[in-house]
Amino acid sequence: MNITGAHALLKMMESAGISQVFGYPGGCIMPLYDALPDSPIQHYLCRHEQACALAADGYARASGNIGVAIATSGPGATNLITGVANAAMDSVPMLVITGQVPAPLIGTDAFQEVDVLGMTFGITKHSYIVTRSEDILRTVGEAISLAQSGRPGPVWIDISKDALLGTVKSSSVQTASFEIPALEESSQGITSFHSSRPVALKYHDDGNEKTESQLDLIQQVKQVIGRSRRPLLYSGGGVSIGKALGEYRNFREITGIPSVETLNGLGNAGHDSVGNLGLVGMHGSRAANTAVDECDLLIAVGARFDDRATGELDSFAANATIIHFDIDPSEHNKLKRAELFLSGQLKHNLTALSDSSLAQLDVSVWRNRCLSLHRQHGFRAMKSRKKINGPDVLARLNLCSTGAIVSCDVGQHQMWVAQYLDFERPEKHLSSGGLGTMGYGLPAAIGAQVRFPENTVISVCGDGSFMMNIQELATLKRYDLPVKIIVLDNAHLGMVRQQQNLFYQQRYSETDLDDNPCFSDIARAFGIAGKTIEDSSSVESGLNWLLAERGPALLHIVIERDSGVWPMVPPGAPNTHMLEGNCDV
Amino acid sequence: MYRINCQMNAMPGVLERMLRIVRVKGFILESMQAEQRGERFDMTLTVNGHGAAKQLVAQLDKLHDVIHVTVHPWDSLVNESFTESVSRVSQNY
Repeated sequence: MNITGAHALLKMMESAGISQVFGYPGGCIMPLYDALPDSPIQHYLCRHEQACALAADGYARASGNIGVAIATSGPGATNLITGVANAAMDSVPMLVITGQVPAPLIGTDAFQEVDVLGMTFGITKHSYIVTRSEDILRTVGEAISLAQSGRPGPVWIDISKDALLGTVKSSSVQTASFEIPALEESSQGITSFHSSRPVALKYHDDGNEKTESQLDLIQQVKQVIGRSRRPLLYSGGGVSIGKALGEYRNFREITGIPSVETLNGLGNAGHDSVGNLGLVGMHGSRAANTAVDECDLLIAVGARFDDRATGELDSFAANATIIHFDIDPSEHNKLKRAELFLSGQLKHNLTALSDSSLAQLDVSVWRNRCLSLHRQHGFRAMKSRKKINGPDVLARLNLCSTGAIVSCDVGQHQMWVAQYLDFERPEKHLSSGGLGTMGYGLPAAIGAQVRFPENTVISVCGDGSFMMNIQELATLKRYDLPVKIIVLDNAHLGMVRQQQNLFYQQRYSETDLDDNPCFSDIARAFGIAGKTIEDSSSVESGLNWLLAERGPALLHIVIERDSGVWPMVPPGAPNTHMLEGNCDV
Repeated sequence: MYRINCQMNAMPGVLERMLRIVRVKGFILESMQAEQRGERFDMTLTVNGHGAAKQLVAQLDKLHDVIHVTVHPWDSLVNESFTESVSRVSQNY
């Protein structure tokens, strides 16, 4: 019996455990949408292809499962680009499917034709063009494996319409199978694909079996740590991506080594963890940045020395030896020279390290120093007076949002989320770290809420960012997804304005958003509950109202226009050069 | 100046992917020779630049369709004293 290429594609996704996808139909992807009603896969229609990709990203970050985005050729594909680049920058596993014009028309400037493969090189882990039905199964299987293996990332398959319409033998679907090993911290881990052509997964680590040279390296790491008097853990998004949270926390606990976290590493230590100094970098605390400056050993765990974290590179941990754990060998000495570099699965490397020998480590003096730094120089939100202060809103939200998944957009509010919310796990914090995509928050929250319908999902947005994907209110309404939206409205592009104030002589070019609409009116126009507050006495009742709403709801909070994000390290300056500002911007 | 030898799967876009990495990592292409052998593509590039050759090799090796890549500093082509290859880099990990 024969089935269409489109049906085969869906069957393959089903056998890989994919049950929910985000997409938008159009001409060349219509064969897939025609087959979709025959599949148990649930499709969520977003209202812009960028939001499809960002929702798939949020879905994947919150769950560890692969996210899937589908769109048509031409503008459908170009609209996906930002969302896919966002996933690539933060190593998020994603499968992207686009329809392409029929193979005979490729290269003819046909209607809605664009060279999708050519567009994808810089923003994906890998990409394919498929023009024959018989290649669909192998390609989809390989793509799903690749997206989740090693350092994960988005993998894009562009399939011509005639290949989707053509037929393949249904028996070939059955011969292709997936093996999904059970992992402790995820319902779906790295997927292995078995077919006539096995996939060579680069940087594959089979398990705890270590070679002699690897064991030797582990011993060297132990010796270096044992000699250190002021060791510091600097962890990033790789801990959750590598499903190594338990191993990381165990290592922290056994050794007592203090820690700092990157934006995507927030939550690695857990919010009750003593000795964790939190966010490091441009908007990190003075405590965290000072600890990095004073340490004599920096242990980088799933972090890539991003410029927002390091500031001026040479002065970052300038007095420290560096040990670097990362699954991607190309990160070795990419930016910062490491004495020792351990690739392979993080969880296995941390397990190999976490034996009794490091329990004898005496770091009490240094640890006390870090605790003292944290007490003196941790984040402190200034209380609102009459007008509402942005950081104060986040500090209050922190008291009533335990366990919630929180997404955010990009800008001042994003940094306030990072500074004032405590995350019990990194997967609870959805933030566009690498690409800095304004408009990320709402679609990402949609993705997370689809995957975890029972969880409280909060999207903290800025007024500038929210307008970039405001159409997704329709998606919330359509599926009655109970996402709670907070729009912090300072009627400016606040982060840009802050830099204009500090570095561009207060020339506020094109950052005034004084003509913002009333966002609660807009929510109500979409059939979503909305409320606006402007007075600091209303913050608590406003948050209580929002969180008590059964369905989707939006709280529009008009905040002080001049609140800044502090501390701030000027771009390119050493992290020790922090501008402190209780001064207004 | 470096000479890069690279063996790749002959898949659509593989040359573009490789050349993109060379450009993005700060190297300039001086010359190029490529030949398809069945399902494989053999390619030799001469590139110039001040970037780290090890980084270039590591990034090229990440490409899914790259099977093997080696880089030789131009001087070593005369005295054969230096060859940096993926296998050697891998030993360090």
